Amino acid sequence: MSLKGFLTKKRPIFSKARVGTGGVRSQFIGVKTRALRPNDAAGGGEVSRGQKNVASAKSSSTTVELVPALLNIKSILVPIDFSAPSEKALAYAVPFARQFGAKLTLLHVVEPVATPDFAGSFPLVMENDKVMAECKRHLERVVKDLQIEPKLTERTLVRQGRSFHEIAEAARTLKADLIIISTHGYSGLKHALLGSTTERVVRHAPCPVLVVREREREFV
Amino acid sequence: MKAKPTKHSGGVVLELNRRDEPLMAAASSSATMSPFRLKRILVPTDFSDCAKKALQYAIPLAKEHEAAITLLYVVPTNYASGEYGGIDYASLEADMRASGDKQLSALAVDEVRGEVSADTLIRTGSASAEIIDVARSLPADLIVVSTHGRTGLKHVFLGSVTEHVIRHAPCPVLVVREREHEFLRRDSEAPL
Repeated sequence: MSLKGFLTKKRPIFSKARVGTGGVRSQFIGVKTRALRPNDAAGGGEVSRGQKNVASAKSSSTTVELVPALLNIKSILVPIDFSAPSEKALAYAVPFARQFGAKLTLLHVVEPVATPDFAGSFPLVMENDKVMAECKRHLERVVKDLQIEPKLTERTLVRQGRSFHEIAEAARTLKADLIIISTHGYSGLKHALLGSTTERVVRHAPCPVLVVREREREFV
Repeated sequence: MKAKPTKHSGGVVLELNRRDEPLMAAASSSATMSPFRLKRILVPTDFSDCAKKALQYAIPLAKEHEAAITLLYVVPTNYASGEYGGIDYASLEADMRASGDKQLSALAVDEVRGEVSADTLIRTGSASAEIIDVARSLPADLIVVSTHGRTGLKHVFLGSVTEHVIRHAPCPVLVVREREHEFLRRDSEAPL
C-alpha cells in the first residue's frame, strides 16, 4: 500500500472520535484540555531560531483528550397506547434521544379482538389490518403533533398480540438499549383486575426499562 | 488537528490548532446544557450483585448530569418468629444497622470511588415502603433499582420490592436486570 493510502485509510478508532456540536457531551466525558505552553521559560529568552519556531507552534495548539462515554444508548423503544401517560413517556424519550444521540422507535400494540367461533358474523369488529393501518397513521400524527425531529425517530411500528409480549419481542428484535414506558399507576382493585402491562414489560424486557408516570416529580 | 489513540479503549487525544479552537469552544458550551434536571438519584441496595449493577448504571448517569447519588439500605424487620425466644430485637437491629452502615460506606468507596458525590442512608422497616418514603423526602429525581435482590428467586421475574417501588414511586424508575442487553460499557468487556 502506498504511503498516501496508508495515511488516508479509515481506522475504527478515529471514527469514534466525533467532535461536533451537541453530540460531544453525550459521546465523550472527561474532556481534558491541556494547553501546551511554549518552553522558553527555562531558556530565559536564549532560544535559538529553530527552537523558537517549534515553541510558537506548540503554544498555538491545545490538546484534548476524549474518553468514550460509558452509557451507550443508541436505540430507545417507546411503547405508546395513545393515553396521556404515554405522551409523558415520549416527553422523556425525546430528551434522552437528543442527549445520547439515540434513535427512537415508537411502538403500538393492537390486542386482537377475539370473537367466538359460533358467531355468525363480526359486525362491530374492524378488520385487524385496517386497525393496524389506522394506528400507524395515528402514531405518525403523534410524532408530527409533538414536533419530534425526524432524525430522532427511526421508525413507527404497529404490532398485534399481547402488549407486554410484543413489546419485549420488539425490544429483542430491534436490540433496543432502553425501553421508556409509562404506567397508569393503577392500584388496589383496579390493579388486581386490570393488572399492569408495564410491570409485565419490566419482567420480560431484555434491557433496562425506565418507568415514568403521569403525576410525579419529573426530571425533564 | 492530529489524533492519537490513548490507553482507554476507544479514547483519542486530539491536538487542535488555533483554527480549530472555536469548534471545541462551541461544542463544550452547548454540551453543558443538559435537557434533564437530574439532581439526586436514589439507589436502594441490599448488597447483592444485582443491586451493585444498579449502582454501576447510576454512577455514569449521575456523572453526566452532575447529580448526587444516595445509597440506601433498609434493615429488614420482618423477623420470622422462631423457637429461640428471648431475642433481643433492639440490639439485633442496632447490630444490623451498624454493619449495614459499614457495608454501605465500603460500597461507596469501592464502586463510586469519589467520581460523584454519594450519600449513604440507612432505614429500618419494610424495604418497599422505606424506599418510597426516602424518595419522597429527599426528594429523588430518579430511582435506579435492579429486578432482583438478595433473595434472587430466579423463577420470579421481578422481585416484590422492585415491583412495589415501580408502582408507587414518586418519580421515574430505571429498572436494570442481571443479564440483559446492556447499554453500560465496562472496561473489561467480558460477557456476563
